[in-house]
Amino acid sequence: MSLQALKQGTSTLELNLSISSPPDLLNAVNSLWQVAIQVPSMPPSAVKNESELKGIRDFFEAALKCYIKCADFTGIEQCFEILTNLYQDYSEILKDSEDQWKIWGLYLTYLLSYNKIEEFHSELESVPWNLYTDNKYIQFAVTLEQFFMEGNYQEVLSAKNHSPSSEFDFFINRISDTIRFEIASSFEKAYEKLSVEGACQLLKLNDYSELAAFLQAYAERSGKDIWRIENNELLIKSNEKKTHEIPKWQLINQALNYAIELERIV
Amino acid sequence: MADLPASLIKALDSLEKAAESKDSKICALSLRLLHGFRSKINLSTLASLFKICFNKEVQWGENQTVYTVQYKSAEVALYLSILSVMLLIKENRLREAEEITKFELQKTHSRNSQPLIAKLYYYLGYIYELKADLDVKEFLQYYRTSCLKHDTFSQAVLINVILRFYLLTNKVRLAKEFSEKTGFPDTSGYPEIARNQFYLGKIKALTLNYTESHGHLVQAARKAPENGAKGFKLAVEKLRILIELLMGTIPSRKSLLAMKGVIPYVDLIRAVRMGELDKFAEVLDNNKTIYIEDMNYSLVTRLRHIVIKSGLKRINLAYSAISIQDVAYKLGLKPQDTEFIIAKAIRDGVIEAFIDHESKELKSKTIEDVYTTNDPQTFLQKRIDFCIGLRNDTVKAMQFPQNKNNAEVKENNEDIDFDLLSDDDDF
Repeated sequence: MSLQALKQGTSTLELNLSISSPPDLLNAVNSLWQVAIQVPSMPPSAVKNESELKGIRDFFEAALKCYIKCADFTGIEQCFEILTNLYQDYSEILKDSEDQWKIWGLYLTYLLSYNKIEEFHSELESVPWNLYTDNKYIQFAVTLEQFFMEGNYQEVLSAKNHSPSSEFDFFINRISDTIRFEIASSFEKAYEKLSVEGACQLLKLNDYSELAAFLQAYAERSGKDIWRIENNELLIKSNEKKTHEIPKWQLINQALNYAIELERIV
Repeated sequence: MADLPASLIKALDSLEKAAESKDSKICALSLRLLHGFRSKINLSTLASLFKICFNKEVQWGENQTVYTVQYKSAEVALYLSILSVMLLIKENRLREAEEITKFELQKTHSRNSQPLIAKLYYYLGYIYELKADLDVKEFLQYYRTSCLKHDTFSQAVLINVILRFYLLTNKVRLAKEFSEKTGFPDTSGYPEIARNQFYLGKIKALTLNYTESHGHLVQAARKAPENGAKGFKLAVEKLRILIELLMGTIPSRKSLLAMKGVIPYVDLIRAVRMGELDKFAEVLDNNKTIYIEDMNYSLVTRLRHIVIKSGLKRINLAYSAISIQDVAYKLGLKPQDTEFIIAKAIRDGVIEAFIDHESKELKSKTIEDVYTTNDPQTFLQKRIDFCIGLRNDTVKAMQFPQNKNNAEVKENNEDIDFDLLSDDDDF
């Protein structure tokens, strides 16, 4: 019963994907989710029926697209969790879905956009290595990460122009924001001063007002206020010379510790 | 009657004694001999041995010595089962081996035969791997059972089997979660500790925690047996080289010459040291199949940015100021990307320099004298901590010899004190 309803719901959902407004779409998805739970094979149930599982998978693939369109982060995360589980643990029962690697690629990009590099790598391990170059979705995520690690922010920012599918754009936009913060944190260490034009150019910002707004956001997020603008130049405070202090408390602690240990030995 | 090695009889005798004295250490010791019998006996001799062992006096060997073999203990039976499982696997009769193993595991056993049970679990894992049936669920159940029985030997083995299966099926996240949520019994034997450390090293490496990974791998290499286990040591060594490269250090030459088979990895080191991307791509291409076979390919691909960094390092040391254009040319990068890459390298502490955006130049900072900083102090502290830790661990690891009367124990006690004092002199 519920499987039939789920299948019907999924197909109407896909039809309405481009037409409906986000709030309507969200309502539809959420109510269908309730239906999906009632299907006996819904993981982590012990029942494993092929056609039921296929229905569930189709629904979540459609749901993911809806959530991405509505920019609903918790929904996206939950969908990924269920889908990756379905792809991995049910591979014996379920045939590979058409969208499988696209969704893996999306998932990897999603992890990157949240700067979850550690998870990115552990999930990447479950992707066969030949897809790194053979599958455009996976390849996109892999190269994006490589640029990210190298610090090749220029390429990351231009990645938008050659994203393999429109769903990726949502995550790439997020990455651009992350990247800007990364660039700014490199600035702290790498430059002593920068002209305002130079800074705008490097950060891909349009003018002075955008730069000022960004710097303020940066100071709030990183908790450090180290930028100063003087005579059309950006000065970085942290690069002023530091003097070394003698870490007296630490030294006292260490000396006492040595005494205790020596006492124990002798 | 075929030949039976005398050491086997000895092992069985001592097992029989162990059953009486309820000493699990002897069981563990007799297992060490197990591997030696692999080539010495075959299934038919084993069959006759089974018949004999629980019956009467027999004669065998070249000089027809008479042995009295009347074993009553379950330990001996278990040991013979393990022996037969080992031989069945050798002859690739997996189904029978699995049947015997499961049959033995279903029985209830005494506490002192725990090392033997652990060995059975080990072989069961091996059988499943040969069958290419890498389902972890069954072993998780076994693990739960062994926890309930407080059987630390089996726990150690099963943790390793489970981690291995997860890694073979590339389920790194699950492996990581499993290793974090289970405590590896620290009383287990060296082989199991070495394996565990290797798997942990691999997991940590895949999740980007290189420093911890390196620590685990060094431990794995130390706990590995001195003779034999070449494959294991080679795998550890390969991974260690990769991790050291990923941490931005160059492995020392001396450690590399000790082993053949690391050559593809030595090529990698060379490419990284020179900081040439073209060379790196070439090495990667040539040895791709090897890296994939070693299951290290994804780690190797991560080296790309290390290559760039070490190239930058070389340039930074050689020039006090250089135009960004030239850096791009030398490293084989696109000029418009280079400034960001340099900026990130500076932020990560790879090079001591700053960028002049207007003149598009990279300028080196004068290198600070380390002895004006607190670094030497922290390094000294680290080493002292290590020495103290080592001493405390050795004291903890000391055991009193068993079966001695109190007077002797007291005497020994004084000996130990004396030993410790002489250790102090070395400090």
